[in-house]
Amino acid sequence: MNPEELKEKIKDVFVQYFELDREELKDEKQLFTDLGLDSLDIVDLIVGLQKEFKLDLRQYAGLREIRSFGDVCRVMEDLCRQNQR
Amino acid sequence: MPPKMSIGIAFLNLFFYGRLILISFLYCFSIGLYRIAQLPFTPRKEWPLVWRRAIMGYGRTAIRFSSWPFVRIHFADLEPERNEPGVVVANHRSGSDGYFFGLLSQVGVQVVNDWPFHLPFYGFFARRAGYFDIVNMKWDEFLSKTVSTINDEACSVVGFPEGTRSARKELLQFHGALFRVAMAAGCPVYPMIIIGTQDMPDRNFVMHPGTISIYKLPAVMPEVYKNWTAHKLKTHVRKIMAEEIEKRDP
Repeated sequence: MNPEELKEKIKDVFVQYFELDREELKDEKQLFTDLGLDSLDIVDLIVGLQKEFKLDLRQYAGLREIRSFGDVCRVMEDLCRQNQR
Repeated sequence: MPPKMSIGIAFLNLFFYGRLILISFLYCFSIGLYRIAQLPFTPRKEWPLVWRRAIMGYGRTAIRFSSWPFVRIHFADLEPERNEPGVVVANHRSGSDGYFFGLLSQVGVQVVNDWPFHLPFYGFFARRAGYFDIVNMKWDEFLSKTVSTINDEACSVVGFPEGTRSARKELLQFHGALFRVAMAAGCPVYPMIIIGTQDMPDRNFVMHPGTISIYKLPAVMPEVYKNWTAHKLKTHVRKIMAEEIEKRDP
């Protein structure tokens, strides 16, 4: 899966779980301040990403660094790459 | 360093806080004792309800009698025919906002951070009324207890989804916990806006004269939001409140 396809799949999760407009989902958008997510929404996001990508994200330390939509894409890219090895 | 204040403001504060202490004292030794006298004749599981009624009565009494004539209070319920238990969410500009839940026609129990439990006077009553400590309760326990409060005890759950005081007109981002409670309970969400409290009192607890307006807005019913996500319900209610604040406090 190339980075653009991956980003589209991540956008699908955001649209499905938070009913956000795809146009809103830009790399620089902050999850809490710009997209209005809270800590409970982050739990939903992780569940959604796990289902979509069939990965276990809970043990991945990089999750704590996530602040923006771009961070989510980078983390998922990293995880998918690790999983392919 | 404490802020400088005019003689007029100093007089207002002396008058306001003096009366607040007096009213608190009189309330505790009249209605408070009457409520305590009810307890032996009330099943133990209903004791929190007795304390909740007492707290709401205190809120109503304190804001009506402590503030007059320097601070005028205007309350409007824009959908008075609807008062079944639900989740009441209000904006939060000042430490006095919690008192205004006392104006509601339904009995409510507040969701608070842990610090009100440590206050010497209020903490005692908050514990007995079964206030919900969102900081220290586990999420599953919080959710089941709040849902049971609404559906089994017929009490509303009330709180400030901003989580902290904004001290300004613009709403902060909302936290979704109260909206998830509403979805789990399948109950109405009542948005409430409180206008004018940002200086009553200010962050230094100094009161200023003015008018406080409180509007309980029409409920968002479960039939409307039943297929929504918690995030969408939260965003929808925040938008309603922001528009109403803009309209009434431009």
